[in-house]
Amino acid sequence: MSRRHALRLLIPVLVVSLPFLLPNNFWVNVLNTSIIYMILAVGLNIAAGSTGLFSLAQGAFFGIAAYAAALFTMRLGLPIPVGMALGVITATLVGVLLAIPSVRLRGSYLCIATLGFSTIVFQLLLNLDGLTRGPMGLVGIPQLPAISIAGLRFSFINKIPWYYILVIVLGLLIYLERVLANSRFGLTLRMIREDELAAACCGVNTFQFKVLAFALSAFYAGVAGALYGFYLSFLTPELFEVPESIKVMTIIIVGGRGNILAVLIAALLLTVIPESLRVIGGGSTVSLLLYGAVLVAVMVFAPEGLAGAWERMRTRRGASQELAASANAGD
Amino acid sequence: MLFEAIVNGLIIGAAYGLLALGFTMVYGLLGLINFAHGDTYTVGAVVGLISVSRLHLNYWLSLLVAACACALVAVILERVGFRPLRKHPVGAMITSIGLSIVISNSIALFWGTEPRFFDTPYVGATIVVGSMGFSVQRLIVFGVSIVVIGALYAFIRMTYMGKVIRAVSQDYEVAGLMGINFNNIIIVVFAIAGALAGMAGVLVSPLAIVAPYIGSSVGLKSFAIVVLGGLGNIEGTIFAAFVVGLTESLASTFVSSSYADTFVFMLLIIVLLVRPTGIVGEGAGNV
Amino acid sequence: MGNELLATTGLTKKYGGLTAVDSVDFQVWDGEVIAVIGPNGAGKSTLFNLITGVIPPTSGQITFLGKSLVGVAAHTVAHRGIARTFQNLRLFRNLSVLENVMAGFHAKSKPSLSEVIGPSHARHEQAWKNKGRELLAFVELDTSQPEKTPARNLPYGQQRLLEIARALATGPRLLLLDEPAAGLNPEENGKLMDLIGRIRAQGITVMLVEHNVELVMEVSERVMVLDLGRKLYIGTPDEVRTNPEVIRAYLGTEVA
Repeated sequence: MSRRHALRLLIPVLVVSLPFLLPNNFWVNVLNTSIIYMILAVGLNIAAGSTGLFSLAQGAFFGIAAYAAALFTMRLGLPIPVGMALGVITATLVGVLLAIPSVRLRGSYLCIATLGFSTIVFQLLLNLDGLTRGPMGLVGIPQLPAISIAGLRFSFINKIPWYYILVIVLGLLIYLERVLANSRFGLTLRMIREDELAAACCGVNTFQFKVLAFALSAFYAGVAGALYGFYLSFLTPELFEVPESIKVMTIIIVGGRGNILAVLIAALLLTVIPESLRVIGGGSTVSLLLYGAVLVAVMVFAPEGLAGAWERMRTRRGASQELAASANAGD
Repeated sequence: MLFEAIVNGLIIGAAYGLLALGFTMVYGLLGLINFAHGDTYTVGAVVGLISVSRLHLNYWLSLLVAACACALVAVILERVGFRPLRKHPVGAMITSIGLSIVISNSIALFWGTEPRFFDTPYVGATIVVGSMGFSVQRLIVFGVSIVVIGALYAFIRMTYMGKVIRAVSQDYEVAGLMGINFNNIIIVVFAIAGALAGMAGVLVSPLAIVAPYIGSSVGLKSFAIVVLGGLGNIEGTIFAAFVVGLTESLASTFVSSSYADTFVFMLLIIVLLVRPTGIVGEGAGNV
Repeated sequence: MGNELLATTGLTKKYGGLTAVDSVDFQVWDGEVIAVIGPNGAGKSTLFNLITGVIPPTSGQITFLGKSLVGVAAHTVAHRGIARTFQNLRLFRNLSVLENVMAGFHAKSKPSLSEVIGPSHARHEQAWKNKGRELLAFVELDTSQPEKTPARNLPYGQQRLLEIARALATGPRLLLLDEPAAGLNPEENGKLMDLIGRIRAQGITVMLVEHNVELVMEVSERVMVLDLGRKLYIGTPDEVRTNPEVIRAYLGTEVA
């Protein structure tokens, strides 16, 4: 059996059995959290990686969807899936509204505007305590009802069934992203990233495409957020402060924008490693410090991220293989 | 109440001016938005506090020490983080975000996160004018800030070095033509920016607290000021600093202190929207 | 020949105190090749930017096929049938050679969702790729793997050809070439002249900004001379070559 075939079989088996390979529930939680970040990152990649819109608003959309989904469900008594859907819709709509004025801004200005937006959202979540209960947090968010499959009952209090939901959602969202990226839509976004003026002169309505890319990123953050509240069963504004948006941006940069697999790996590493450090006893300070240091190191030494480093290794290995082959073949 | 709010607004505006000026000079020179600028303020406050409480220096000496320390920090940041990305201002900005996080969390890790109070002989002393009392510290903040801003303005407008900085901010290539080492100019500007930020930290933090994250809120406000005043525009920045100081003070007094930051950012976003900035727009052509 | 394709009246662009284009009136006739020459700073590229909607005029009028272009966004100008290349080359450097050409197809198509996703997408993809290869052949851009080679890997002369191919992909009535010969060696220059001839034979009107006087005289039917933003003279290459004002504007630069 060739290596590629072996991998093709191994990966799904690994994915399906992963939660059971982990020592305890804490690590299952870490795994689930990393999947949430993967969703956030794949979403941000559409705006930032493919299109070049450096948005620091992903954390804000994440929070808007989380609170909206929870509040719609709890305050209006709606069924959980409906609440989730409304959460996603809310975040996406806000995304469109923010995009319309923001995408006209040049790179640095866009970054600042989205940063300002994230700060405002956090302040609102904190201060509108009639709605969100502010720093005390929203507690008692209902749990997903237990489901029965093939006679077995799965309760969502256990984090393992959550893993499968998250993986399925992630899979669908990655599929969507790939389809878009490989389509003419994706090509258009990359054109805009490479040279927006030239794209416009080729007939591209860059404004429309940028708003759409931005809205898609918000949509992905919305999906992550809508699930998150029910996953945690509580929400506080501190979960969605500005550092969250910075974390997601760091993941994209470390992964190397545009390359989905690298982004997934980066999300996994940048969730697992800080959590491990926390276990050893660092607290969130160390975790943030790590993010900052990694961000600086990658930007200074390897701005193309993991993907770029991989590419460079591959071309070097390919070149040296050719060299070896030609050395063997003759003189 | 109104008068007091206005006076406080002007005072805090002057201090913001110190911070924002350094920021805008760096932008004018390199097109770089330095998110770590606010954390230089924090470093200044920490160095000032340590100088006074551990090294038992007097307040004014600690002001000087903090200015020098922060000038050094800024120059190191430039060399390590920004020089490799000089051709990519957006990338450098993202690096500055990382540096900001590293600085603030390093301070938190090695110094602790509890807020400390920076006691100076001037915080408690009050001067009474008419029916109002003003803390001497506040007057010092205003006085020193105005003097330093004035000195900087004179430096930029009247000295040879200042003219060189302005010329090079307009056009990179001028430096080469004038036989000036561009890197040296950058070091000077960063040092100035750092020193100003450090001074602002020592001046303002006795009125509030010293803690690892005080720089972030202040730093974001200095962005707002610089954008409002026109990135790279010295006079505009000074004016905008007072506008933001007043906005914050008035919002804090008459609306709610917890929303003060929000008001400043809404102002920022509104201005950003109204500015006719675009990518496919003016200046895209070569003549 | 004989139909007016593009016309400007009193076209002016001011930047603060500086007037880059000063009340320029001229017409471009359908099917001709017209060149715009002038000393550096004469306003030539600004003129292109005004026509293609990249910058708005301060005053004056531009009409194309009878409709005004003032206030029209750059992408709409492309849809209406004006394409351009850039003085400093604006390729999509990290996209493949073929993708760069296909980029131009945006101007002539209305993407329906089926063109973006789904089985018919594959069919459309193939059609675009074929058209793209045809265009590459038309401009004689010979490269072994246009689908895989990133545009930045092409040698300079081929990059210039690629930009022209991309512009042609938009299906223009009027093609604006901004210094197409800059940096080309004599052989490439000759091929460029042939290419302009072939483009014209397709019925596309060509307007070019160029410093290379030999190319201009060889290829153009009319030449417009700009100096300091003003139209100095417009006429046949021979007329321009001997006009005393033009010679004075160039001040010792060889015109003939």
